[in-house]
Parts: sequence; structure tokens; C-alpha cells
Amino acid sequence: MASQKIRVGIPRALLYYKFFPMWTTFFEEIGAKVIVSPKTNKILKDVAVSIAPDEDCYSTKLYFGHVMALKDKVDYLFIPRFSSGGFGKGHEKNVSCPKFIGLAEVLRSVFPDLPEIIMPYFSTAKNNHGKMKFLKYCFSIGSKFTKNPFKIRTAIKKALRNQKEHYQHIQINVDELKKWERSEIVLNETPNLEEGDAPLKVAIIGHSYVLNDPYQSIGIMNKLTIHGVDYITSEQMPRQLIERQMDYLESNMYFEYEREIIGTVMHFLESKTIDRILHLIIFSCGPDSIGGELASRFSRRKPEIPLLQLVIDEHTGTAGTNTRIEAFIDMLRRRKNIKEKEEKIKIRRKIECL
Amino acid sequence: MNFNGKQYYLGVDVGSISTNLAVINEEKEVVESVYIRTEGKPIKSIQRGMAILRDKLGFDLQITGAGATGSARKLTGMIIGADIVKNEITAHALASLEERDDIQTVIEIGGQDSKIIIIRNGVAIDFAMNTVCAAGTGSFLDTQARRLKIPIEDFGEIALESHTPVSIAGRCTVFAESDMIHKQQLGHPLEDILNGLCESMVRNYLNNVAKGKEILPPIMFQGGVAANVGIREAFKKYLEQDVFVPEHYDVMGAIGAAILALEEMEKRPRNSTFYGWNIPDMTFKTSGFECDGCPNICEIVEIRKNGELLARWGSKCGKWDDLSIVHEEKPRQMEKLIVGSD
Repeated sequence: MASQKIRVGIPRALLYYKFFPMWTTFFEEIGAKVIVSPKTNKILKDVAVSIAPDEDCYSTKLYFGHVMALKDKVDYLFIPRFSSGGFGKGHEKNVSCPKFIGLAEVLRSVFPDLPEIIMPYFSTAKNNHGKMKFLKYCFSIGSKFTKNPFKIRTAIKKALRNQKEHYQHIQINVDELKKWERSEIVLNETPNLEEGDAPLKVAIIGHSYVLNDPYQSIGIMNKLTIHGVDYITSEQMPRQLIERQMDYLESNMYFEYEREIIGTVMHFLESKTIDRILHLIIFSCGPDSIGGELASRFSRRKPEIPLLQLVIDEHTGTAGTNTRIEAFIDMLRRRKNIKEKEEKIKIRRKIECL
Repeated sequence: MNFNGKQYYLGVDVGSISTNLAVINEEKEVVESVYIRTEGKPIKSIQRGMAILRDKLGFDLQITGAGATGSARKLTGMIIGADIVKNEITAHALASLEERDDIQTVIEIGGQDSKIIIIRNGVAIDFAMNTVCAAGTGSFLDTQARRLKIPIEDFGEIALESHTPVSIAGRCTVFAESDMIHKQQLGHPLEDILNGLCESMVRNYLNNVAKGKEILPPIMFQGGVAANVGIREAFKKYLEQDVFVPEHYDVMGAIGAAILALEEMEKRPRNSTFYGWNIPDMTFKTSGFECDGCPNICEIVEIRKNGELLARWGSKCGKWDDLSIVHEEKPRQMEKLIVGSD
């Protein structure tokens, strides 16, 4: 029987950037055709901003655009409602942004003509969902596509393995971090350096769906690389370092994805191994309103590593951000050059003393 | 004028409201400067400024290096043939440090942006700029002065005559207007209202731009608004410290650009790309189009000097930076762009 494969659409936004290996593998393994929406672009943004609710954050608004780009091309839309960050130890009590949980319902009620939405609700924090619940969901989704339970089982296994590999690929370990801090390895693109210049070390922090979407992050990574900046993102940070920093907080930071952000800021303020921290904030992001404020307060207490916070929304033009980024790089470069000169003078004095 | 074979550097700072030009010598001393209004036509104002400078200094003055800064720095760089194009924050920080090397805080209020630069031990360590709103900048004062029908030059002097400033909301020009009208209708004298405006602007600046920054003396106040004595006094009152206004407060950005050009030429000696003093006689034309190569629909700007294509910018992918590609006007096909996934 040459029946066509069932098409499942996954919007390329928000949690897609964290969980895409798991999702795409699972659906492909159970015999579905996965269609991912195109990368964010201007037309998609314009559509998104015109139809999304006003109070949503920019990233959530873009999600609406991605759904619109998919709706006529798929049989199912996959919009999971993840109310918790992930599995495993330490994640039991943490929640993700409430907007992610409501997305599927909002979309269905605003656009009744959308294709059927697959929207499993998974919550380790509130409803104490565990592995059993997860498997149950997988089987119930899988049964829409195949009658063979073994196929579903292999699909789940493969999906989880791919997700784990993805995490291992992205997150570095403490040794690698130390090597990066000493400029022995490059984690991302190789910085474009003029002769004799040392790379500037910058940590770019933000949500994974901002860091991985060049349209949302207004191409900052690329600009920094061109100007000789060697960067690390908050997504790459070793998890145990972040969890260690979280213990210093007086109360539990229960927004799962905000932990990465605050943890990275706290780690680098303490270790002082980089030149500057760049925080990309999406306008009207609820968790970031807490995270950003905390980050700026911590940085004020330890002003050696300055923190630059850029707020991005749909109106963000490149002119203002370009000025800030250029000034930011100039400042770092001048500061570093003066520091190096002082070091050299110190060494020379020491030699003269001998 | 006799220039004794000395070296001179030109800096041009084109902002939203004013266009400033400065020529410095090798000792980084200001030889001549020009401050004129941009009036929404940056190219015209650069040419006008260059003409004024040429009349003052003469055709013979040799420019060794030229720098451009300000919000129109890219365009300016193209028009004068600058050797270096840098952002205004770096330029302002450099010029302030040249003026006084022990400076720790720089307050700069221009036409539509205001910034604070924190300097420690002769290095800029932090800065902030106003975000989307122009409240707390020169245009706020301009608008209010126009409403009250007083020339902006007299604003500060009149404000200083007041002893009891009235409180006016400085968050927004719209709120400020309703507050101001209310105070006028109650019978408050003009000078008290002007003084209130000065204070509200300073409060706004300190609560927005300078929020969370450690303001340590010596404090330098520059930019076009520094001409306003009312604002100077209000800053002194709110910071409870002396505020120092440099001699060339209005052209500090241009001085900074000239210093940058000097540093650049010292670092990498070469012949300047500066077009020379006949810039006012050249014709520059800009035109724009929307690229339809991908769904990003970038807005491309083209600039032509005497009919010849000089530069193009605005594309995300960099495709149009290659000047050999000729742009032809075609009807856009939107539908084609949104389909297809990758």
C-alpha cells in the first residue's frame, strides 16, 4: 500500500530548540513525516506580531507565526505543554514558563480551523508526572501513527538517546570550560582576530530559543565573532556548576530555564575568567524580569565583570543595538590593551629589581 | 594661514539634531570647530559644515586623517571618505579623557539620545544609553521651549531666575505638557515652570539612563544640552556635586572622532582616504529599495557620489555589498517567499 506518510508539523520556536532531537526522532521513527517551520524571517515575524496576543513575549509571538507557516501543510501540529523543565534529579520542583503550557489551548481557541493539535501535558512539578506518564503519552501519540507497539518502543528509546546525545554535545564539562577560559579551545566560531590581539572573552546568556535563532538574537553572535570575540553561551555551561551556584540563592529559582541564566552570571562573576557578560532579554518575558533584575544586582555587587543587558522585541532596530555592541567591544579592547600594558610594565619592573 | 607642515585631523559627528565638525592638531588641541543643526538632512549638513570649515581654515590645510561618528556615522564616513568610523560612545569617552584625565563620570545629553559613561583609571568600564524614549534629551527641551514660545538659547537663563521650581512630570513630553498647562493655568510664573522642566529632565535622566550607575566625581557634562545653565544647576543640585562643562562641550563627539583618526593613522600609517575640501561641491545622492531575494525583505540603501555608486548597505546576507551587482526594479512576489520548509 503506497499510502502517503502522515505529516506532523513542529514549529521552529521556543522549546523546539531544546528538544528537537527527541521530537523529530520520535515522529520519524513511528513513521510520520516531520515538517519543521522555516527559520524566523521578516514575513513570518510580521504575520506573528499581527495575530499574537499583545501581552505575550516576543518569542511567544513568533511561535504563532511559525504555526501559521505550517498550518496548511500538515495533518497534525505538535505543541507539547511542558510545565516542567525536564527529567531527572533536581528538576522535580522546577517549572517552565506558563506561556508554554497555554500555547496549544490558546492557538486552538483563537484559530479553530487549525489541524489537530497533539498536546500532551507533562508536569513533574505540579502533578508529579513520572516516567510512566511519559511512556503512556508516547504510546497514545504513537498509536495515531502505527498499530505496532514495538515500533513505538524503539522510537521512544531512540528519541531519548538522541536527546541525551544532543545534551552531551552541547553542554561542556568543567575541564573543557577551564580550557576555554585559558583560550586553548574554541567552543563556537573562531574569532576573527587582528595580529597580536588576544580574543575577548564574553559569555552570552539567554534562553536557548533566543541564542539559537539568529533573527531573534539580531545576529549578535556573528557580529561579535567578526570583532574578535570568543564567546560561550549559557546553554553550554556545565550543569553541575550552575546547580552549585543555585545553592547560594536564598530561595529556590524555580524557573527551570532561568537557572541557566542566573547560574552562568553568578559563576562568571565569581570566577572572573571572562571580560564581560552579555544578557539578551526578550521584551516582556516574565521569568527574565526576575532573572534580569537578579543578574544586574549581582553584577553591581561585583563590578569587575560588567554586564550588558540588551532588551529585544519586534521593534528593535539594528541601529541602537549596533552602537551598543560596537561601543561594548571597543571598551573591552581598550581595557584589555591597557591591562596588558600594565602587566608588561610590572614584569619589566620585576626584572629590573632582579 | 601658515600651518608649518603640522599634521591636522578632522572629526565629524552627525547626530539627530546637530552636525559637529572639529579639526585638531598633533597635540590633540582643537584648531577649529563647527556646530550646526542637521535639520533632517545629514548629507546637506555635512557639506554645509565642511564649507564653513573651509572658509575658516582655507583650502591649503592638509588633513592627515579623518574620522566619523554619531548616529549617521556610516553615511558620514562615506561622504567624507573617513579613515575610521566609530561609535559615538567611544568617541565621547576619548574626548573627555583628553580634556581631563582624572574624569570618572561623563554625562552626555544630545538631541535625541543621552548617555552616561563610567570611567575608572582612565578607561571606560561601563556605559548606558537611553532606550526607545527621547524623554530626558535635548528634543524634550526643544519641544517645551517651542510650546512656550521662548528661544532655546534663553531657556536656562530664564530658569535660573526662579527660586521655587514647580514639579512637572518628566517621564514623557505628553505628560509634561499637560502638567505644564495645568501649572500655567494655576498662575505659576514662566521662570518657575522652566526651572521645573530642567529639574524634571535631570530627574528623568538620573532615574532612567543613569539608573544603578555609580556616579563619582569629577563629573563632566557635555553635549548640546550642556549649554543650558538651568540644566547644569539642576544636575549640581541633584548630584550634590560640582559638574564640570568642558570648553568644547558641544563638539566633543567630533573631537573624539578626530582623536580616533589620529590614533588610527599612528597605528597604521597610510595616505588618508579623505576626499578633500571640495566635498561641498560634490553631489551625493541616496536611494533605497527592498530586496526580494528572501523572506527577510531587507531595506537596502545605495549612495552615489557624482553619479557613481559608492556603497550599499542594509542587507542581512551581505549580497548587495558587492557593488558589481546591478539592482533592477521588479514587482515583488510575496507568496513565493513564505512557502517551503527547511
